[in-house]
Amino acid sequence: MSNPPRTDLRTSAEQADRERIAEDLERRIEELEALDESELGAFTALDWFFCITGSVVLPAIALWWFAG
Amino acid sequence: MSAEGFDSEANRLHSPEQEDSTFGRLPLLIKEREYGTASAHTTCFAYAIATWCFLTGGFVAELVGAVQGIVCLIAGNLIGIFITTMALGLGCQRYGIEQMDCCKPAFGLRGIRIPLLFYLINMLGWAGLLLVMFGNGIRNILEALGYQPGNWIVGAGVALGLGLSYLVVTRGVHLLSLSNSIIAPGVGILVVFMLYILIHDYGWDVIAAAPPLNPGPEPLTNYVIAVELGIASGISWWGGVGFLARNTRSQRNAIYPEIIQLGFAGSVACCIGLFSALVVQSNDPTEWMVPLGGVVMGIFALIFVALANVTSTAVSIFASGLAMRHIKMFRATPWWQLMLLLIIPCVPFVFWPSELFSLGDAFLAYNGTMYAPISGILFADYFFLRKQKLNLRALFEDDPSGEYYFHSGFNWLALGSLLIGQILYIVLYNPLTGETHPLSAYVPASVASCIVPALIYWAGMRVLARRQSASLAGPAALDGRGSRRLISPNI
Repeated sequence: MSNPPRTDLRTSAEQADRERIAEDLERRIEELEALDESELGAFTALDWFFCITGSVVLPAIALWWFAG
Repeated sequence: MSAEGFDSEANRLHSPEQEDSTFGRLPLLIKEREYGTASAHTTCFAYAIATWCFLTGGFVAELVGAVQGIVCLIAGNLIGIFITTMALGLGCQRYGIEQMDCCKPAFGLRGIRIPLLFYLINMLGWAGLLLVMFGNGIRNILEALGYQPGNWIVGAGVALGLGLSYLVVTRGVHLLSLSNSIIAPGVGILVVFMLYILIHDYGWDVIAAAPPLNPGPEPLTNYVIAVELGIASGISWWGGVGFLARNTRSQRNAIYPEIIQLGFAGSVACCIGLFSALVVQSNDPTEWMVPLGGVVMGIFALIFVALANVTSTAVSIFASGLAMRHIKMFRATPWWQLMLLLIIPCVPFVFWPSELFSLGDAFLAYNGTMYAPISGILFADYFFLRKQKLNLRALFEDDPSGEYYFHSGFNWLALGSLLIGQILYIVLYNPLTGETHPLSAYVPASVASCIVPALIYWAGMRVLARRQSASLAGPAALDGRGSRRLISPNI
């Protein structure tokens, strides 16, 4: 006659889904925080030098050079 | 101007957990990330070479000639990409997080609604411009076939494009995935074809001698604005860098492909658009194809560009839908309703296509207004204040005790700095009126509006941290490293 049982089922399914995601989130946070920096591949001072030179210094010089 | 991730592994997902992390906000584990060096470069290349490159090239062609245009586009793009990529790219890669989450340490759990709003403006603005390009394409195809449709056909084309995009985004990611796998390489071939025609049929001398389409009286001012458009073009990738970086397995793969492909390769494609616009003397890419390729090739190219525009529009709307999931009230909204909601802001393009298209260059520059200050604040926050260490748990903690809750979820200092950056940008260069301040000849508006808010934010946070006689980590710092579980997960 009425819908409440279906609604309750859906609500409990949603609740279970949320709990599953929250559990998964906790697991991921722990795993990522425990991650050693070496596993990510270092972004070294040399990388910074290349990026700043190629993306900032040389373009800025080119922009200044061609402004005239 | 970006793409969130949808076009990759729909068929490879094995578990609900993996689906939640890939298409949702769960942090991605290293083993789940799909981009190694080669795939990071190819994915970035596919995103970089899209029809919006033609639009950007066309906008720059209004102001400067080929030589200055090349410099503005390539150098500007590289600077813009550097500004947006470093903090977001390294932060999202380190923690496997989605980029709105990466903004929370600076802006607060609720404060990210402001960058989110800018993100939606960016996505839907590009979607509208591409739809007008789609409508213009239909008109030009009909004209090439000898018909003389009225201008109403452009608005009707925009409506058709909106309908098609809606179908694509609601019928599943596999459709988008399929169309992207055809469209992305196709646009690459089209770019090479256009370059061949330009060099073979016209030659560099003609291209270099072609005058800009609609320059202002002051050459230096034209150049300054063109530089700004170049930087804004790079900065407008802000919406996409986080997703790409999040999916990479190493820090270098989070940065180099974005700089090389989005920054350099993308700007080369913009240069092809610049050359075409100068030779044909029109900033509308759909008017280039027939003069460059002849009627038959031109019509084929136009049909292809029209399809590419629908795909890119669908990408933008899809990405906006994913972003809307950050807002609690939209988390449970059915996808089709969300998509319908996002299409509404694009409807004005049906009625005023030409008028809105003519504001395209202002819109492109406005991306700098929106994202340059955000990027500066994120840079100061991630590198100088937090020393590249985020409290991952606090990003997902809605409880007021969480580190990034600040005041009612907002970090007013970051938001105030953002406002100052935007005002500074408009003082130096007003995208709507085209007015520039004399200082903008020395410092581009987007660079100034990146650095100044970053300094204000950095100094303010240092003072606040001292006043609170606590570390920047705040009262709930232990939450992230310790054993406490999340009190109120916001996922």
